[in-house]
Amino acid sequence: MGTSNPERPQAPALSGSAHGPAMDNAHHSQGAVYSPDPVRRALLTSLLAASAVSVIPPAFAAPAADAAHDAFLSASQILTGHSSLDPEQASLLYNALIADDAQFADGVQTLAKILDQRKIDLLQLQHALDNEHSLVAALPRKIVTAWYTGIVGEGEKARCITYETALMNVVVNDKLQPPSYCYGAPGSWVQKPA
Amino acid sequence: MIKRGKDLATAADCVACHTGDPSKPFAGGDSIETPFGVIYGTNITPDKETGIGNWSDDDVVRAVREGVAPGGVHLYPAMPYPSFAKMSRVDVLAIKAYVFSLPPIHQSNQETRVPFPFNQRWLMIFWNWLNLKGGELTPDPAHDQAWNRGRHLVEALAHCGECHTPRNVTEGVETSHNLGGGNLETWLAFNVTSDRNAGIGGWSEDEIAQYLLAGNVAGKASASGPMAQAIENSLQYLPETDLRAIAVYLKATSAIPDGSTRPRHAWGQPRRLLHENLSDDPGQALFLGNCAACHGADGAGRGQGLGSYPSLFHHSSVGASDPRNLITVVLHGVNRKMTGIDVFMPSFADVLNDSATAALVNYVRRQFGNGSTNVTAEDVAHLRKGGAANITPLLVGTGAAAAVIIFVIAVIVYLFRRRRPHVAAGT
Repeated sequence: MGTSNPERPQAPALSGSAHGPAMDNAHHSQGAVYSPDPVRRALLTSLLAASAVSVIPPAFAAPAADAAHDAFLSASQILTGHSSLDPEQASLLYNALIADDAQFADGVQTLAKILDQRKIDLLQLQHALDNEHSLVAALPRKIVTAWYTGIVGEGEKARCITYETALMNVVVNDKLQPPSYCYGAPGSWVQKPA
Repeated sequence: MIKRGKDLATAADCVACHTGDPSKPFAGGDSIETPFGVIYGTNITPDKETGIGNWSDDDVVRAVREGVAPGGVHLYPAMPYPSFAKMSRVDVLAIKAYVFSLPPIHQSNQETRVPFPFNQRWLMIFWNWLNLKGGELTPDPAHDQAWNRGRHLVEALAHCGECHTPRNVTEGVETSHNLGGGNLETWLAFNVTSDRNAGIGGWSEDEIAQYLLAGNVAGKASASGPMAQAIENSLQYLPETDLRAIAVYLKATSAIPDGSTRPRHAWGQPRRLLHENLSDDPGQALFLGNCAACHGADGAGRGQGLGSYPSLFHHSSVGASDPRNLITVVLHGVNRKMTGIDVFMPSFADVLNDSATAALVNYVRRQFGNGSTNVTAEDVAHLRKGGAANITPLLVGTGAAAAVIIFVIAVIVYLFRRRRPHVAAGT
């Protein structure tokens, strides 16, 4: 991929990373007094190029992943009505959702755009998406189910990601414990809840 | 006097060993496991045939304070007469008056059988000579009334040292390490000296008094096993002034360190509720399936007050470096009958096998306590059986008996040989 300076002696193999494009080697030594070290020049060139190139792949990959993740977060906040959602929980649910549905990352960005730009009333949202035969019509239900029940996927592919922190248990936890957890110390149910 | 005797008998917890069937109080039948074998509590109701109805005042005092029953029968120190030796004669007679006011119950005593040479009760003379230290306590003017009352309760009546003090090779109480922790095979009676890390120096007097009254202090400890029994039968009935006196005395004991850098109750943290793959961690899965329903998915417990389910972190049984108490509680549960409520934890001995119990206990200790040592399935099996018999006293006793026998034979042989020359010369 890289070429070394053709008019200078071959520089030894310097680093394992990708070599950059060949440097313009139009410079000629002006005289015996000043002769730029070819090895040093080649070293600096390839290091600079390598560091530039090494940034490129993540720079392309990360924004796409981040964008979908951010879209999921903003869509979740709108759809669940909760403005503050636990980021760790969001990551767990997001990872499960993209594992369950290969189109989820793209779909959620589309959905977020729809929610943001068209500002459809939430009660009409599903109806509107169904009428338009939108590709993302199934997504709001998936997202809300994931947050409220903690379950991602259906049938054999269903996975339980969260339970105690699922919103269905969180919204009532001022009075109740999640099913299978004791209500309180023995006899505490005798007291009136209020 | 009878009322006073009743209060003293409650503090001394006579029922714990002298009541096997709760419907027959003080009629005996209860058993206590010792390294020497099983010892049965006797009938101390005033029944004339099977109880102590024929005993005089002096008989009772001698039995309680010196461990000798009428007829010169020596008692085994399962009867804590080394502690009761510190009681006054007047107190013992008050207890006698109370006991003699109870209905006599005809129940024959179960015979205590221990292996040779321990069944030779007269050998107790030597044991007493080695281990009986100090007589009746007299108030120490250098300390206040609360301290003196506390000392009388701790050292004499409630005989705390009988469990909480380590024992020497003859199984007598090691007085130099008073209250420094005692080995009860399946239970460890913790160090309750004033040491901040090894003992209860980090507890306030309020907390100590509350523990003795209720058996439960959030963020410190909850009582199970023999201590739960002591609170259930005895300590929960003591007046608050007595409980405070005990607290004052304990906070003033000599600190006995054990190398701990942190108090038992200062370990652990809540469990996080979000996890990726629970099936990778069998101990955690067992915790969720068996423990979390009552102790919380985060291990923080549930409720407040007498019947609350305790937090698993900041709990001395979980934070202790010795995992014995935790394992035994998991196996056998807790049943502490308090006034107004039974504090109950089910036993998991039939639900979890040895390796499952070990996995669970290791998880609980790593997450909520002191995960310094690993518990194996063998450790659990050992505790399930009640702990191995401690063979040291057996060896000491057998060795002593063998030495006596050899000495006697040597004397006989020597005397016999001394006579032979006369016989030989005559031929």
